[in-house]
Amino acid sequence: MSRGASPDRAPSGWRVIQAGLVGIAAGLVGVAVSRALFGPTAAPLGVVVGALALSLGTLLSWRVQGRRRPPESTRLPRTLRLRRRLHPVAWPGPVAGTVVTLAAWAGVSHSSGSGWVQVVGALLAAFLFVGLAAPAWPARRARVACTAVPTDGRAGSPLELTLRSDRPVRVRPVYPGGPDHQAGGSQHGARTFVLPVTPARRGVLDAVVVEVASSAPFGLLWWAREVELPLPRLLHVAPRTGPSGATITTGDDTPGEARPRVPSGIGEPRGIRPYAPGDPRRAVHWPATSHAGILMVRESERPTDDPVYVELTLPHDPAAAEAEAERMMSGISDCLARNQPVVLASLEATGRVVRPVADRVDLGRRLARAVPA
Amino acid sequence: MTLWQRFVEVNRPGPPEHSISFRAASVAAVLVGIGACWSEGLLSPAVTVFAVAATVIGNVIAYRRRAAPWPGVKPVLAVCAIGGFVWFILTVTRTATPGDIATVEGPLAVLFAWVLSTHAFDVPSRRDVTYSLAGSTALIAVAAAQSVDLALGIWVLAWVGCGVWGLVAMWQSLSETRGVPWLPLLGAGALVAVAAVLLVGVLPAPRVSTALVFTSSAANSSPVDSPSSLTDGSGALPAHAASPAGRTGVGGFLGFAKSLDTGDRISLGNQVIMRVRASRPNYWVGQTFDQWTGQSWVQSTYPVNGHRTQKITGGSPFTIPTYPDQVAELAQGQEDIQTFYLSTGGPNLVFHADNAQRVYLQARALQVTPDGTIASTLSMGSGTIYTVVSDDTDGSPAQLQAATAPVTSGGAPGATAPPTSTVLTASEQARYLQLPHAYPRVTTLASEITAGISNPADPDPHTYDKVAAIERWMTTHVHYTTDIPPLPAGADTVDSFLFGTRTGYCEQISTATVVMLRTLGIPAREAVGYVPGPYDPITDLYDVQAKDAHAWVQVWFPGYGWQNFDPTATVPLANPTPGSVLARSVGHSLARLPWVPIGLVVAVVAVVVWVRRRRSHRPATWAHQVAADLDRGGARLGIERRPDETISAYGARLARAAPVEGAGLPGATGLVERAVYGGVEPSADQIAGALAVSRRFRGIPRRRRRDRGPDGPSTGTQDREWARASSNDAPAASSGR
Repeated sequence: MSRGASPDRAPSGWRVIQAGLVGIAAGLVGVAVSRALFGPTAAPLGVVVGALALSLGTLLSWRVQGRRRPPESTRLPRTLRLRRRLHPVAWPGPVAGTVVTLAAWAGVSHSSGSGWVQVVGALLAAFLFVGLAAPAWPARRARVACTAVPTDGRAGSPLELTLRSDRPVRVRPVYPGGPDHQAGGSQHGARTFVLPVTPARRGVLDAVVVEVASSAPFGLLWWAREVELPLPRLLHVAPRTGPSGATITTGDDTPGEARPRVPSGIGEPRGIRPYAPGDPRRAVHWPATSHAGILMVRESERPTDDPVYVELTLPHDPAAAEAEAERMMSGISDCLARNQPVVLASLEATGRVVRPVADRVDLGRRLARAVPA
Repeated sequence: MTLWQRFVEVNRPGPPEHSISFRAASVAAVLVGIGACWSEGLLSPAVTVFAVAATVIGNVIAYRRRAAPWPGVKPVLAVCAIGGFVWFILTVTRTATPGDIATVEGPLAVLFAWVLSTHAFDVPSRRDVTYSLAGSTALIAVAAAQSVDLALGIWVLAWVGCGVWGLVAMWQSLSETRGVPWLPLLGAGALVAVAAVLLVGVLPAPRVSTALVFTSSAANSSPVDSPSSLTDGSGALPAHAASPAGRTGVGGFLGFAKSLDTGDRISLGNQVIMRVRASRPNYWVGQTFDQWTGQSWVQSTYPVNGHRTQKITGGSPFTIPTYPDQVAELAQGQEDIQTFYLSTGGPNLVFHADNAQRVYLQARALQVTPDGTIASTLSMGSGTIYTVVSDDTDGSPAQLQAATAPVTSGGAPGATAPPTSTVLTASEQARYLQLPHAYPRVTTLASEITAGISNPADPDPHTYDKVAAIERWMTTHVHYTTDIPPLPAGADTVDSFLFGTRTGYCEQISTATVVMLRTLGIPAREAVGYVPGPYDPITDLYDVQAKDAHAWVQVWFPGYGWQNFDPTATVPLANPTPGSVLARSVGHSLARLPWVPIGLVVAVVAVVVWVRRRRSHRPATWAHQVAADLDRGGARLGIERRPDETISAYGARLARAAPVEGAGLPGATGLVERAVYGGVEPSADQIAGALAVSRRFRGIPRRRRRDRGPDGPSTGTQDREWARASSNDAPAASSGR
């Protein structure tokens, strides 16, 4: 999905139903209020008030439904569905408890004939309503931004994001996952905190998804919404390092793509030794061979000045691609540990890239950017 | 996870709660509840002191041991709780009066106080503290059920304050914030108050249950030495019969005596005499008078048709006999349950709505006279509570018209009186048609008033029509006032009133009405009692004040008994809704406010605040002003500045999008960049020109979304500056919205 795409709208039928429900609820409230204030004889006035409330409620619900959604990141998994809309978390229990409590209280207070019991019941209902509904406001108004992120990470290893929030909220990493964090501190003003996340897979992230939740002011119910936080810079998540000793298949450098890229100065001469199986034929030292009568080869400080050419081909299956990337990570890391230069050919989003791997960090980035054919 | 595992998981104790503020609020809420119960007399001082001490000490110990609670505390508390319930059940079964909820509320309050004070010893985690906070609601509710005045309001307000404090403190603990949360406290408190007021406004008035409100109490009461007389309410033991040397000079108390002297002038104030909870508002009659002397009303003492005053014994509830003239066989009434809470000592009269059937009063006996007056053998001290169950037999105008329709062969179709066996005997008729002397002028006046009410279809006016006509005449031809001169000695009240000043209050008006009706041959009598006073939407009680003492007319209709008529007061047909009363009270209060000065002050404050905000948001330099104008105009176009975009690039983009309005933007933005980053300070004319260009662009007409160009809106506009400001080293950060 490209940036600036048209807003993603919920199905129109559901929008109509939601708008209708909101409007009906508003209308009922309007009728009840007008009846209570003006008595049962003011039914026509109640109808007018109810109709106005119904219309305003419907308009409000349409406006809320029609809010434009921001374009999604290009680097988040397409299967990730964000719950951008504000929603209560684990609401059945608190709501059911509230309904049962108030229903029981209403039954007792209404038949007790005591106005004070009804007043206390109204206060209790007010507490519960405010506690259940009020957190939606701070949860919606909360602003969270990512201010600092490391450039590199590794799948399965935690890394720390520096976030900034304008009010006390609970932040839960959704993608990548991680533990909840309470952005506490002072009552007012912005606060900075570190949010540990653990990417599950390799990749390049330009945004993370977190759930921002609030239960202010009473802590009875959490309201949350998932937001996409753009990262200040790209985060390369390298694959895990697979089991050591993984063999990597060198690629066919017949086209000679790797040769021009071989840096000079690799493989300072060290001496002459007898040929051992596996030595490249280019290392044969013919003058020493003629003198020794056996095949002699040049030995360099570094095993060879010829880089290992590795062709990375990732399968389309994400799990298999991840496994392949991990294997490559392990194998090429071993090469690098032996000071074996490696030229890695991989396919990235911008196209095919054939380039030597400078170090382990560069390897992680290359593997993070690699995409299936 | 199995159900048992889930049960165990849910009931697993949580982490210890460290918030002292939360715990303090919970303790305070429980203490307020205990205090409220004590103030309503539900808890004795000893129980109150114990509950308070146990709550405070228990919470302190629980706080200290919160990390490692004693393992044996739960079994001990469980035993205590079970013991409390057993005590409650035994107490209620032993002492409770069936149907009297008040006898259950006391032990219930003790039980709640016991449970909460023992629970205080085991509140290690947040959930336990929350349970304590919620438990205080039960104490307040029990106190509320007992309260009949607004004094409980102080406790309720304190409880609300503790509740808001406690819940906000709980949220603070959850969210790991510190500091005093003034804004959440005040905001939440205001929200709760507004929501509660709205709820009270829309809730219907509580209905009086037929099974729960037969309340009675005989506090501060003393036996009457002469039950056939009315006491003076002085509180002496025994209560003496009132005498002419008493407070009112006529041998009665606050207007109620053996006779009603219409020449007497008594000023009654706003003192609350009693509070009444009733199924519907009504005339609460205390006495009726049938003998008119020309100046005073007197009750007949001779038996009528053999009926004398009856003494009803047997204890509460007392079944009131129905005398023949009270039979209302055609009326299909509903039960009207009234509970009277006396605030001051009063006469030993049992006020009630007409047709009382049962009386719940802690007395040994009642005296019931043939006219329906009920007197107690106990003087009614302050705090006395009694309940009366009456049969509401008020007839509608159509029913009453039909009840007295003449049965003649030439009558209009359908104009036949409904069959009824209740008729006034000759002695009863004589009683209720009695006049001390002929009233020729009154007779003429009454005839004139009722002469023009017939119609061609029904030339013979019915009794109801005559009564209604006289009632209407009274409404329009007399002036109600309590400031009238004393009646001259020997003068007739009715003659002086009708043919003199025609000013008076309920006694004169009702007496004149009764006399006029009697001259027309309509049985009528004088009734005195109370009309409903102001309705309190909080307590759902009528606050009956001394000035609500009233006199009105009762007219007899066959099949419907005595019906109330009153030219001077109107009793609503039903209890008002709390919301309507609140709205009227608020409306009256608002109308009395001096809106002009208040409006001026509010306007001045608003202007000052607006000016200060504008000054604080004013851009520091001309370059900032140009940038702000571009941002504003760009927002109207739907083109927002990207994080990595320079001002000149942005200006160029705006100029392409709006060639006419943004013609000078590239020049202005270039000037800004050279000044800010190049150190080239432009001239005053150049600055003025740039500002003029940006200001003109700022007012560009807003474009609809579909008219916007390819440079559509990007995300996070409103928060870009905030996010940028919040990140010192992340120039491209933007917030999630």
